[in-house]
Amino acid sequence: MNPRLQELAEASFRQKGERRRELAALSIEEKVEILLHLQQMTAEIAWETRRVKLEPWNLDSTP
Amino acid sequence: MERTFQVLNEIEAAGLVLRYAIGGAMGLMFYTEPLVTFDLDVFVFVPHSDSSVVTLAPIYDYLRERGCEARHEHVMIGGTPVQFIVAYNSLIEEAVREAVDKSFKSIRVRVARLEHLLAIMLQTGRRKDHARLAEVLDSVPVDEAVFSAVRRRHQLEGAWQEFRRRFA
Repeated sequence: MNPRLQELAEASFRQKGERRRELAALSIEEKVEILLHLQQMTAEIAWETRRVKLEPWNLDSTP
Repeated sequence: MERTFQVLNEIEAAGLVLRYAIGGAMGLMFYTEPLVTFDLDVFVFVPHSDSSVVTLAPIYDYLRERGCEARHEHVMIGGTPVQFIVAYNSLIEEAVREAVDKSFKSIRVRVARLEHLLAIMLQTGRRKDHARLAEVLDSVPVDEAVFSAVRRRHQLEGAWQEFRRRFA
């Protein structure tokens, strides 16, 4: 492989691994906050691209 | 989310389930990076599960009386769609039995062990399970002695070798 491409591939691999480990170390409360944001983003993309309606959680709802 | 976990503890205290354990993507999130999911899987032991008909009706009735609406295979608890899954094989039964207590904003919540969650993904064996399993193994420490013992007990060595051939 072209050394430049190899370097890019390895850097990308390392960065993804580092990012995953950093995120895994967050508290579960922080992870749930991130999950809610990811749900919003996923729902928007699903609607825009596939007209699929996904419902993000509404944790303020009762009961 | 606190309300959801509180209600799970209430259902167990009321004897409607003998024991529960969070599984699926939400269970994994207690150990890994945040994962996108739109529901909460809860494995349960229910009373009288040795009878020919196993029913979740008492749980649904209890929740309906408290205003929790059923939607298809889910019940909405505290804004979260919860799917109750009766432990359906020996691996899930062991995962529920050996689940560990964790907490969420001071609410106790019982979560399957990481090694059981990984074994369940291996057993389910969908492409997305394998892809997720590969990511988890790359990013968090796994107790290999425990994981390999779980694989052996539940005849998952073949699935493990196949997974390794594709992803290692």
